[in-house]
Amino acid sequence: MEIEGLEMIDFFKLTLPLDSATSTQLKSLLTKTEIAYRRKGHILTIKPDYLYLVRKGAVRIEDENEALFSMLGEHQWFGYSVQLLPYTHLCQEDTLYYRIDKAYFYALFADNTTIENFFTEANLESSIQSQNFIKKDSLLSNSVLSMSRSNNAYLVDKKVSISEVAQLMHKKNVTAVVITDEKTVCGIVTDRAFCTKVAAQNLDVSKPISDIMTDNPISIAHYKSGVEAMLLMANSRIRHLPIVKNEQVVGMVTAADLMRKQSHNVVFLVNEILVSNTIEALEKISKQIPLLLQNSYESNMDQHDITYSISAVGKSINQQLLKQAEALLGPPPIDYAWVVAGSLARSEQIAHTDQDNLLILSDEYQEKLHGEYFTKLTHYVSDGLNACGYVYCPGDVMATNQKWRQSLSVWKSYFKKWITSPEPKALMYASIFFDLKCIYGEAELLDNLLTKVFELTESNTIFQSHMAANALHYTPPLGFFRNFMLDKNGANKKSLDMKKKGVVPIVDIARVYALSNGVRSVNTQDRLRELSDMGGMSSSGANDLIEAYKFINSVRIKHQSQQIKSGCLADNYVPTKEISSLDKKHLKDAFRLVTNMQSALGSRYQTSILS
Amino acid sequence: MRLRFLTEYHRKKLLKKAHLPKPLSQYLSQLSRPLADNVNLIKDLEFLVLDFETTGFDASKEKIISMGYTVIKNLRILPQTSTHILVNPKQVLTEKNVAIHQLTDEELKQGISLESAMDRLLLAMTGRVIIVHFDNVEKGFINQACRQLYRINALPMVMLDTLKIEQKKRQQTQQQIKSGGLRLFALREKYNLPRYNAHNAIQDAIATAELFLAQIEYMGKKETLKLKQII
Repeated sequence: MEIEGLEMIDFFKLTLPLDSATSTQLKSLLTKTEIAYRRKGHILTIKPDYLYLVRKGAVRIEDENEALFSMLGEHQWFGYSVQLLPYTHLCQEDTLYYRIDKAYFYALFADNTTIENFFTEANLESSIQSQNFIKKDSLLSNSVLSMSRSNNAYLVDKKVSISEVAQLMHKKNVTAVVITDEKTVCGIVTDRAFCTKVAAQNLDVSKPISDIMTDNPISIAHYKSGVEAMLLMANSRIRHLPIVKNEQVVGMVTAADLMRKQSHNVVFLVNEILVSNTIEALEKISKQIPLLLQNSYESNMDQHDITYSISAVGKSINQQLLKQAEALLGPPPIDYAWVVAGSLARSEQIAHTDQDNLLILSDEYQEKLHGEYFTKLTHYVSDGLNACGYVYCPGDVMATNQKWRQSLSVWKSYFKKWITSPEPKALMYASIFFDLKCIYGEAELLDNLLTKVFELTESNTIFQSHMAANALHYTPPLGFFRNFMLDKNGANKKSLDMKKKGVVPIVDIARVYALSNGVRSVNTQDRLRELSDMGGMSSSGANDLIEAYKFINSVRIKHQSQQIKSGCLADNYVPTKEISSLDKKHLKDAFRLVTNMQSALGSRYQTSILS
Repeated sequence: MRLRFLTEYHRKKLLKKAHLPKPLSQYLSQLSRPLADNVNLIKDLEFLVLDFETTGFDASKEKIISMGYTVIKNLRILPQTSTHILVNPKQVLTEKNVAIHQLTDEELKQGISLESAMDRLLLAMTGRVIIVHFDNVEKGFINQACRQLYRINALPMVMLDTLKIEQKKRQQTQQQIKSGGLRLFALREKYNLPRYNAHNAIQDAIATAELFLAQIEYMGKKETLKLKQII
C-alpha cells in the first residue's frame, strides 16, 4: 500500500481525537478502514465490531420513540457505544462514511489515553447529557410549525399579477408567498425575486406572478424540527420553507424565524424585548444579559462585538420602556429626544451599570402644558430601568431630574456656560455629557445641540486644555519600576481596577481629541479610527491605543464572564493572581502605552498652564 | 450478450498461445469469473478501480507516467489495497504535464519500468471487474502496453465506465447533460461526495470508486443487482 498524500489521512488528522495520533498510526489505521456510501433516507445497520465516522453528509440518531437523539456531521463518530446500537441511525443526507475495525482501533491506540478516554462510557454519558441539553433547546425540540411567526402562509393563484402580489406582501408584511395552480402548490415567490427578476430585468408588473416564481419549491413537513429546517435551508441555499401537512400548505418558516429561537443570542433577546408589554416582562429578559456576556465570551466573540451586543440589548430596553410609557400616557404633545450618556451611548457596556439619561424637548415646551406628561414619562422609564438592573444614577444624572429635562435652548445655554467658563463641576458634567446618543424620539434635537457644541469646543483651546487635564485624572496603575500599583479594595486586596485605571483613561483621551477635531462618533474605537483617518491623531498612535483598549477590555470581559459563571456579581476588580504571566506582560505594555499617550496629550494641550 | 461472447472467445484464443508471461496467463484464466455474468451479483463481485496519468491522450505516441488503483469488495472500498505505481517513461516530461500531475522528471526516474508496472497491474486485475472514469484512456494505454510487451492486439477485460453509467442513466431519464457535467468532480458533487484537492492517479481512483458506490446505491435493489444490468 502506498498512501502518501491520500486525502483520508488529512481527514483523519482533522478529526477528534485522531489529531493526537502519529502519522504511522494513521497509516496503520487505514488498513482496517473501509469506505461506504448510503443514500439519504437509508437506515444504516450498525455492527458492534466497528466504529463509524461520517466523511460527508449527515446521520440522524433517533431513540425508540423516533425522537431525535443526535445529529452527526463530518468528522463525527457513531457506533462506539453499545447502548446506542439499538437506536435508529438514519442517513439524513447522502452519506459517505468510514467503517473501522473496533478491536484493531483500540489495540492500536492502547497507549493513547486521549483517544481511549474519548470513547469511554464516561465520555458517552457527558455526550448524552450535552445532547439531552441540546434537546431542551427550543430549536431542536419544537416543530417548525410552532416556530413560524405567521402560521399563515399566503397562497396566491399563479394568474395574479406581479404588482398585486407585491401589494399583498407589503400589506401583510411577509417576505414570501406560495403560488398555486388550481389549488395545488406550483411555486414560490420571495422578496428577492422582485429585486433579481422584476427590477433588474425591468419586467412588466402586470404580467402573471408565475413569470417570476421558482417552480416546485422545497417544502418541509409540519412535524420536522427547527434543526432540520436549518439544515435544509443551508443545503439548498434558501431562506423560506413552506410547511406542509396532509399535502396542504399550512405555514411558512423563514431563516429569521429560526434565528429568533436561539436563546441567549442577541437577536433573540432584542426580539423578545420588542414584544414585551410590561416592565415585569422586561425585567425577566434583562436577567439573561449576564448569560449573554458569558456565552458570547465563551464562543470567542470579539470584545467589540460583545460590548456592542450588550449595549444593543440595553438600548432596546430603553426604547421598549418608552413605547410602553407612550402607550400608557398617549402620544407625546411635543417632540422630544430620549438621550443616553456614558458607556451605553458609546456602545461599550458590558454589565449592568447606572442609568445616565436626559431629555431634550422641542422649544415649544411649556411647563404648564407639558410638564406633567414628561414627568410621568421619565419616571416610568427610569423606574423600569431600575427594575431591569440599570440602577438609579447616584449623581442624579437622569431625565427624572428637572435640571436634565429641558428644552433645546436651555441645553444650548448649559453647554455654552460649561465650555466658556470651565469650572470643576462643569468639567465633571462635560465628561458625562460629551458622550451622547439619542435612542428614541427626534434625533434631530440632539444633532442640533451637538452642532452648536462642536462650534464652541473646536475653537476654544482653553476648554480643550481643561478637558485634557481632566483626562489625566486617572492614570494606569503602573509604578516607577514597571510593577503594578494595586488597589486596596475591600475583599479584593490585590486587584487592578480595570475600568477606572484601564478603560477610562483611553476613553478620555479619545474624547478630548474627538471634541477638538470635530469628530462626532461616540464609540471609542470609532473615534480613534476616524481621528487617524482625518489626521487628528497619528495613525500609529491611534492604532496602538485601539490595541491597548481591546486588550484591557478583553481581560475585563474574561474576568466578568468567569464571575458570572461561578454565580458572583460581575465587577471591574481583577485580582492579579487571575492574570496569566503572559497577560501581565501584555497588560504592562498596554498600560505604559496609555501613560505615554497621556503625557503626549498633556503637552499637546498644554495642561501644565492650568495648574 | 454479444460483448461477453466476444471477450470469452478472445480469452480462450489467447490462452492457447504458448509462452505467455505468468501474470498474463493467470489473469486470463481468472477472467472467467467476472465473465460468468449470468450469476454475477454486483454485491458479490470484486472490482479494481483504476486511474492512469499519461503524457497525453494518444496511446500510440504518449506514455503512462503513473497508475493508481484500489479494490471494492462487498460494495465497500478497501483503502489498504490502494496502490500508486510511478512508471519511468524514459522520456523527458513537457512542462504542461508537470503542472497537471505535479510529478517531476526526478520523481519519475525513481519509477519502475512499464513491464514491471504491467506485471503488478495484471496481478491486481486478476479475477476482478475493472472500473474507470472515461475508459478511452485506460483501455487504450493498457492495449498499447500489451501490444508492446506481449505482442497481443488487445487485452480482454470486463470494464465498467462510471461516465457511461451516468450517460446511460441520464438518457433513460431524459435529463439534459451540460457541458462538463460528466466530469468526475462535477458528478461527485451531484452525489454529495467530498471535494478533493489532490489530483493524482491514486486519489482519482478512490474518487472514481466512491462515485461508483454512489451510482450503484442510486440504482436501488443492491441485493439483486446483476453485473449485466449495468454493463
